[in-house]
Amino acid sequence: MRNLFSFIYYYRAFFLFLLLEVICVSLIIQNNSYQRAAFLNVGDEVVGRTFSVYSEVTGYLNLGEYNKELAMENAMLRSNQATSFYTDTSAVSVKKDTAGRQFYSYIPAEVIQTSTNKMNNYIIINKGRDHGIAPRMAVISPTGVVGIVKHVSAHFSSLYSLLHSQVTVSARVRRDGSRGTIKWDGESPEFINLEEITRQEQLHNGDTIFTSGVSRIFPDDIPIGTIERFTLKEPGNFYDIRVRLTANFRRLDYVYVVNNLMSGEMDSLINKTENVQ
Amino acid sequence: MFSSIIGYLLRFILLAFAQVMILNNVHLHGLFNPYIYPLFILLLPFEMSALLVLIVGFLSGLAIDFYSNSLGLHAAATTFMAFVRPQMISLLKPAAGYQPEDRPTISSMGFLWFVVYASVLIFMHHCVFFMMETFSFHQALFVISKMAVSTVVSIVIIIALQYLFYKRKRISLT
Repeated sequence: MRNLFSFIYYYRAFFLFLLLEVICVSLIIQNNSYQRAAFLNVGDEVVGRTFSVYSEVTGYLNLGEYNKELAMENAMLRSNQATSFYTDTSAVSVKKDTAGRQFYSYIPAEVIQTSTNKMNNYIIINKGRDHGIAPRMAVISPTGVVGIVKHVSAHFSSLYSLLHSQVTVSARVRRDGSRGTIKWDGESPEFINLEEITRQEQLHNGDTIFTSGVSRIFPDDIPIGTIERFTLKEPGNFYDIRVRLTANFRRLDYVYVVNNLMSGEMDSLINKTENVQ
Repeated sequence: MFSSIIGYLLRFILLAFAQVMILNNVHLHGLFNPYIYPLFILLLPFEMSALLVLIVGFLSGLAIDFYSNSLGLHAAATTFMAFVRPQMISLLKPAAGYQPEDRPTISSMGFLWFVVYASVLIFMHHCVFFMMETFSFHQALFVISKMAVSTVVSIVIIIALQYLFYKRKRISLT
């Protein structure tokens, strides 16, 4: 510190000179319109370039702030939009067929949050307990299987997406009816694995995979995907089958929650059977 | 001491007056603007400390600026000039060194010494001044020629002023 002071003292004339010149230049720029214009509008000259770089850098540094402001504004505008008002009415389509008993009813819902990039992906939809949704119901989209309801609140439900490591769905190859289980491996949101198909089955690329209807959650014949490629697992009896999903999980919008009207009856029957064993 | 301060102040007022009222209105095709008020800084005594010269230089430039409506321009030039002055003085030191009664004038130090001393410092002053005035590298050739011509004219006037006032003074003193 003492060295610093002695250094400054030794070169005091130079430092005073620098200080005075800085004062002069700032005075010049502040008080003389030509120099100010020259200083600010040099354009492609060094000074101007430096300043544009500087402003770009500060612009980047402030991007977070700008983003926050824009997001706030967007949120405000969005909250005034018609789509942000929660529609409490929900047309539950029930088939009023006198010839047969209704087995499944469908509750339309909108996806409000989804992800595809995690190992366990969830989907939030905008219908909940008040609309008759309960856990363990199946969710399908016009293009295929979507997931299974896990939790419900009054107005919202969270689903295990099909792209979830805990979800398995019983499936069958439509051409010959051979059954297996589909399970996601966490890699790509476009592909899923079909397991437990034995080597006796004859498979072809492009075979369509549908739900088998034995899970009593999913109805029969909901599309899942098509076989992209298959190999025989070397030590074993089963195929390794890669299935291209028909549903685009990145762009899920409208889905249907499937309510099995007879699930209670089936569950109690199964419980009784298991208890007997 | 006090009277010498008054004398320097009076000299500055006279030079500033001549500069602002007369020479600032001389623009020959925009080619040169002579500046003679730096003579005030040239004539400050040798033994004045570098810091004080800097401050005096800055203030005198600022005073000219107030009247020329160019705040900071002259101050930047005079401050630079005042900063270079001590180096210039030590560079031009005669073999015997400076005597206590020496003054940086033609009558005291001789014509050649004064011309070199004044030329370098006035040129420095004009360089800084015209660069600050243009404030860009456009028309660099024109600015440089303006610097050179203005410097020559300023030095001629300054030397003439020296002969006008100080030669006679020396005669009257001796």
